[in-house]
Amino acid sequence: MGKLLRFFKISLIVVFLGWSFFLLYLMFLQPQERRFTLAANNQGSEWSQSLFDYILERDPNYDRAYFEQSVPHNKRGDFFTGFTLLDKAVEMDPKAHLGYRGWLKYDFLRDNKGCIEDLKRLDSLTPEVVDAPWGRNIHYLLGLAHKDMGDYKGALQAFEKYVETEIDSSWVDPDMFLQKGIIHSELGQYGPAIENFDLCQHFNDNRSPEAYFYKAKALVQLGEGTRAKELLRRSLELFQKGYGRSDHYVEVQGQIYLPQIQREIAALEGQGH
Amino acid sequence: MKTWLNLGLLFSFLLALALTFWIDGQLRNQLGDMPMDYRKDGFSLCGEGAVYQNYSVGTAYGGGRFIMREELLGFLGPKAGALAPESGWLTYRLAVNCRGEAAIFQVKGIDSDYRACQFDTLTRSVLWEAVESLEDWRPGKVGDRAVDSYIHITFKIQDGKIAEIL
Repeated sequence: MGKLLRFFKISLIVVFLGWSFFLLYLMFLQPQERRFTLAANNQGSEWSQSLFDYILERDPNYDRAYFEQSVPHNKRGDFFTGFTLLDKAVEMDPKAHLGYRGWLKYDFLRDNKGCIEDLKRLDSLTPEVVDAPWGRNIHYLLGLAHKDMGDYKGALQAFEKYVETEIDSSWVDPDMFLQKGIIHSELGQYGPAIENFDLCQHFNDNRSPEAYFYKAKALVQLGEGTRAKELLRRSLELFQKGYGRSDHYVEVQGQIYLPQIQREIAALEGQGH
Repeated sequence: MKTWLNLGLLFSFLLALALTFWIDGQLRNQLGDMPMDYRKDGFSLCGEGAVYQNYSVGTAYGGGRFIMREELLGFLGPKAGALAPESGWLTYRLAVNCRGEAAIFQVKGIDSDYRACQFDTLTRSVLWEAVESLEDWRPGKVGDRAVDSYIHITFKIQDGKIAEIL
């Protein structure tokens, strides 16, 4: 009985110590790269942040840890902490992180000037390639930032460069045609605006509620209220089927909402269309 | 021998327990959580469990940001263009419970150079009231179940004018 109990106790000690060792191994002893993956997979938790802290204590030049550690802060609206960390990553390896920071400045904060500065600097550091921060052609992003700050000329030039640096227009994000169309509309150039909305629609298999919506608004300006209403109805239908463009984190440029479409329709109906 | 064995068992058990609880706590504690001691009259989270992030569960405002912006600017009126002459971003973080009730629990600002910035007291309180006036929150969902979640609203301010609501 005594022997059995002793054996049982020793077994328990082995299990407890083994488990503790396993946990300590995960945090402190396993290879840096695997610890990084573990921290990244638990993004947003204090544990993840502690793991990144430990990684950076051991290796203060691990730029990707600064980058990865910054992500949840920015996603959750703590831009001071987020950008302080991200700036460190950029400082260590500008080529690797400028694109993301530039994109984020535009996407999360509409800091268009800051975005353009970062992306231009990245472009000058890598003259031999067309950069693609976060998988998007750099000229497309530059175009979005220029457009958002009201620099339509700059935006159109950037979009042109975007098309030039892709294989052909079928590789271009159809959204670019929507953005170009909106710019032309804003400038009162309804002909070119409609051409671009049609191209956007074409590359979207006629499933873009935005392209119908903005085209309808251009048609209203041209005095074609009845045709505009028809397009708004199509826009509404597509929107209700869930085809509207959106993003989990932020509003995308040119995004439309249900009440907007409904109001445009009501306004036209009010005018007897 | 017997005493040593018992001590060893106790020590190893406590070590395993402490480490497990510590990691579990650190995994549960998320960045940007509402402080445990936060209280607001008439507001409480629905569950004891996880509070999600808006981007994971689709917390939204009725009519989307289009209507939210319209209501915020409507509430602010001329004040939206006449805040203290500062520039930067002011972010309000809210908890939206499963019934669509909301409570602001944090305000954080940065200036145009991304330095931490408090902003003028009046600016902070005027925008706080505006955000608090929003009533049409749509709780985030996991499957069909409405859940508690966090969301934030960021005001981009340029020379005392609201340039954008993000």
